[in-house]
Amino acid sequence: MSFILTCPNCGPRAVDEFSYGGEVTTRATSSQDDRALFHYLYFRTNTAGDQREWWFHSSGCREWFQAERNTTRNEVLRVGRPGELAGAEAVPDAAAASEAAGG
Amino acid sequence: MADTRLASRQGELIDRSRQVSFTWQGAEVSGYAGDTIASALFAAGTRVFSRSFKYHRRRGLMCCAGQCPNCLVNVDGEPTVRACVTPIEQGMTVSHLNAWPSLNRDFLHLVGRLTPSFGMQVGFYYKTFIHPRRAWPLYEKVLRNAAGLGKLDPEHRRTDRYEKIHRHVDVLVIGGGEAGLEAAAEAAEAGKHTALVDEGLALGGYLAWGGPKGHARLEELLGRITAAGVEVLQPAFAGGVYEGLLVPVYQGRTMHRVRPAELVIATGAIEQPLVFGNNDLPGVMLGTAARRLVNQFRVMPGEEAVVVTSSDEGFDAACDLTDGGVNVVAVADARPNADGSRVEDAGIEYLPGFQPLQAKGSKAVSGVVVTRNGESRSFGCDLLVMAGGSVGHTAFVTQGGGTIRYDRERRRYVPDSLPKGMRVVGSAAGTAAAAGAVPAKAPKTSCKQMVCFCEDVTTKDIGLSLDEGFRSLELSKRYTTVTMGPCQGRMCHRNSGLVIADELGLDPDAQRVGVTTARAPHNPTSFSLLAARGYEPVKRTSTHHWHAEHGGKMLWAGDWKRPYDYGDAQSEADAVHESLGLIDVSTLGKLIVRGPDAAAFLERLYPNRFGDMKLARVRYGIVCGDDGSIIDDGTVARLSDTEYYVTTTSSGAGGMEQWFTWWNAVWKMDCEIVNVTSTIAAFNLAGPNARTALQGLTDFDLSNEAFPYLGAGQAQIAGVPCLVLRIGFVGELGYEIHLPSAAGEHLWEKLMEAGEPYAVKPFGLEPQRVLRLEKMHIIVGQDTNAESNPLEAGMPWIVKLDKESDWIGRYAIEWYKNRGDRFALVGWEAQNGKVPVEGTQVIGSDGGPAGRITSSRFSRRLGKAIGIAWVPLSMSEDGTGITISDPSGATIPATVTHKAFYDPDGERLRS
Amino acid sequence: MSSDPFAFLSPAAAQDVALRTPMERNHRAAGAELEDRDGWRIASYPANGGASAWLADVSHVGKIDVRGSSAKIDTLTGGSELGRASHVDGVWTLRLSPTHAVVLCPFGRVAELRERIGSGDAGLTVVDMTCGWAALMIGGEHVREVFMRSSALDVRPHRFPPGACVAGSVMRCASIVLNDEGRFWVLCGWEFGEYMWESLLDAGVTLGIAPVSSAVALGTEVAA
Repeated sequence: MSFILTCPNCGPRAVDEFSYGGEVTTRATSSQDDRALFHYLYFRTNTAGDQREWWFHSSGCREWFQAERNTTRNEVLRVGRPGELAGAEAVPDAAAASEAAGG
Repeated sequence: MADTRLASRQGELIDRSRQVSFTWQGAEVSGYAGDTIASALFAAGTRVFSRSFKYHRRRGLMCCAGQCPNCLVNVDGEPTVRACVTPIEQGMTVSHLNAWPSLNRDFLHLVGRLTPSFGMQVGFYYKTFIHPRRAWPLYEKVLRNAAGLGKLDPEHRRTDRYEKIHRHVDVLVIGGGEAGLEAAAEAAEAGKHTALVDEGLALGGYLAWGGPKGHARLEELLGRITAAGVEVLQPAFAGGVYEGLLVPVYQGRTMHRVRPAELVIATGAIEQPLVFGNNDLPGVMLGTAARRLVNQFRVMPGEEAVVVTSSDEGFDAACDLTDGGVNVVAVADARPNADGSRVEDAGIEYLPGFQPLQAKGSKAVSGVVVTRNGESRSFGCDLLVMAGGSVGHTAFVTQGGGTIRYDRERRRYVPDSLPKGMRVVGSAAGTAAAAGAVPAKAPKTSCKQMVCFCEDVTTKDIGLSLDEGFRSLELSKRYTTVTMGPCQGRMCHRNSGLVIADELGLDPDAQRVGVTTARAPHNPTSFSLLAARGYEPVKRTSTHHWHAEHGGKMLWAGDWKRPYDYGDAQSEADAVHESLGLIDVSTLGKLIVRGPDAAAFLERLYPNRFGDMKLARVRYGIVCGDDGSIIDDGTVARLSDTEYYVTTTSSGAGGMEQWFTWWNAVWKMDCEIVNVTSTIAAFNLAGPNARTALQGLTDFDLSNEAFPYLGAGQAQIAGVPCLVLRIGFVGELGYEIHLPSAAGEHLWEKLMEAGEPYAVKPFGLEPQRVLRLEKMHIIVGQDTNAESNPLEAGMPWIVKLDKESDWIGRYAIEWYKNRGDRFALVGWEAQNGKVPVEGTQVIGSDGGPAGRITSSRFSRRLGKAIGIAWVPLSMSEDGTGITISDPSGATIPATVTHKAFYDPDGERLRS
Repeated sequence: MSSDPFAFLSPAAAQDVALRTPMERNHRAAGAELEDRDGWRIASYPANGGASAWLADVSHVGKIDVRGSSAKIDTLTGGSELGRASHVDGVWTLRLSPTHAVVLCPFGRVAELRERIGSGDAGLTVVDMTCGWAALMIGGEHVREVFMRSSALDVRPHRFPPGACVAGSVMRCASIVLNDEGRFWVLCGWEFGEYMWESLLDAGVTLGIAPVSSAVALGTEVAA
């Protein structure tokens, strides 16, 4: 992977300056609905196409942002600071986050 | 040395005033400055440059342009160097790669001669050498010895300096032929920062090697790129085109990592061989190769030549050869209706409709048989020139994410879709004249007809693969390895497709056959160059050198270097218990959380409660993922109503900064998170004498009454502003001192001085591990994994399910609570004092694995082997006897314990 | 608790302490003299007129991390664009994101500037990061060539002119780079200081790089 990602703060950089935060997901808000909870925790859409995702500029400004990326072409269509891209409630991808935090 | 060169002429690359000598197979050879290894050797009479990959057939110069595998040699210990594009240097040592005992008498050639009885047919490694089964190791040894190109010397250490340079340009042009020069000149003239890569020894492509007629145009273009300030990397080659149009350019011992905004592919076209019997004999070469020798190096490629062609390029070759004094006997043109008047005018016999049947000769070419509808003509010659038409060089287009399609009109693959930022110009774009139809192979000959020169794949091999059911180019490629060699199809893409179309009865122009993918690296590339200068970041604490200078065994711990111990781990642990020890814990992650919402933020991030914390207090906390797993632990100190100081594990420092800032990016609470891991050094002074020793350095009242267990206070210690946390890091009275890094070594030295009366010892990671295990402190990631929740990990007291607010992990942990525990994280002590290895299993009642040992050590203080384990709930009661397996085959009986092994009630911590 | 909850982050509050940069051992090994100045042990290298590339340890410079709302950071930076730094009265203010700025100043002014920036109802989070970042400076005719062997950041003159700043990877470490009239500041984690020093010297070895005194780099040397 050597595609270019544009950090909203720092500008275009090679992807190896960033940490991937996974798909933007919607957080489950109850332990009562097992299905919704597990879906949030363990299921991803794994879209072949345009996908909204989290990125952290770990070698640069060390801030989070969101990107819309075409996963088949690795083309980044849009980027925005949290809240700048319109869309569903945006929370970290629980699985990717645990991995990122653990590593 | 007798000069065998042709008369001096404009456009030659050699400087006849400067002789350069080197050795080839141990013998000294002389050439001129400007010669390649290949041109100098050829001029000196060398005709055999290598032995082929599988059959060890003799191979001579074929392309003279760095495309084919025939002249790969070893230069000064570096294998697979392309002799035809590598300039000679005084004193270099050049040798062949893969013959035994010598290039001219290669024993391994017999392998090919014995075919097929010996069984080197396609797929032989699946067929011939598997019986008897037990003999395979012997076969393998012999085959491995015979196969491959060159040897890497495992003892070789690079001594030369290799560089890696990052470059950004507006426009990068690959290829310095006419189209590339024109594109580069245009871009630079338009004010764009432009670089051009060319792997030849001279810019200009065919303008340079095609004889004097191109020189005026070349001069003009060179003048323009110089005037416009084009940066020229030459001789250098693009190793490939990677995502985002990243292009590594290799130039000598330098790797340029080029990021162009626009990439122009001007790689030109590659002349293709023709397929006929013995088409790989030394003396059979491409027309462009012969022209390069004549026009650039002024070497006669032969005395008597025959040209076999399927394009007008054969006529150019014939004319240039005649011009160079070679006697061209005949031109056989596979096209029946081409206009051959150009060669006839030059007095050469022209044979329309004739295609080559086979080359004659055993060690080198001595003649050729050409044929037309059963009619044969035979000629004697020492040079057989093939001009099989050219194909566009499109490897970089497809590597960069573009696609190519077959153009029926022009009979070649041309770029179809291109990735953003890429442009293709010149012959690579398919602009060259239409090619004639090319015969797939010779009609009938018993000789080997090479399709793939790199891997020794013949027409027969491809036919056999199709017969065996691999009925497509891609399948045949995988079975026969055609196009898989170093040239990545540059010499065989076209011909392999033609042969397959012929065998399957397909129309070769109908794009049914397809084309295989040419992958990077484009040319043989040394590991030294790929590695270039490998910088490996290392984190050092402010007292790093003190440790190293005082016997600390410095080991990698994550990205840090930390002392494992200072020579005697047990004594260091004893010192902490008995008197005083000091450890550097600067590697801990440290975060400031500040703002009106700081307390609320931490309440939402931790299962613990922090909003009720009093000022100047510190509390242990764990961080859970939203799946309820423990992902980190550490302490949280409250410095003011709105300011908290958080420590994390050493390995979790970066991850926790991301975790905190991530959730704050979502919640947008009114607080800031600042990572001060680098800013702060931290030391833990621990042992019964810690208070007395430390009190001597500060006015801050350290008495138990003024500064009790879990207190946090700012103190000036030995002149340094510090934050002191009174926590139970290693199970004795202890103070964790946080201070500015720049004062780290100063304070460390002062603490060691103050501890001198108490025989203070610095202690490393290993004694720390034992001390913390004695207190049954878990290590996140060692004693826990992605499935460990705090309820089962023995920390239900930390989880505040009664918090009114939501918090990360809450719903999963509620779910776990409803489900009920299945496993438990417990302590154990071995009944026989034996220490089981970490990772071994706890044996269940059925004799199978039931649990696992996550930590184990021998504690000299306790005289016991102790540890931590995950066990099923049924084995988790305090006092339960468990059985631990041991790799030795023996088992270790142990007893489950819930309380800390040492000072279970924490009296020493609180003293 | 002290009135300043973050006093323990400020080396300026140290008394009778010789503060040390992470590169002290490197300076000693290279034969530099260590002088006590402004509370720091500062390396002094023999004058090296006309080095084609030079490297200096300026880790003792004061550094302040400022975070807050973009409006407040606008006020602090005078509305600087992202990636631009202002230089007023010997103090650099680098705008790294809408909500994040970094101030570089003489060490003696850290306390005063922290006080001033964080005072009143500013509501900014102002943290003394003097010991958070090791600071190196590279300069000389070949400064860009040294940098191109150290980082994939685009520092061509039209992309990275004087007064530009950038956060990015240098020698594979998260860093902040500032173009100070053709001299490049490189700020990296304190723990990487020694590694960065050694690596930059290695990167520049074929370009004739030599270490120089911080006073030479900063242009604060006293005229002889």
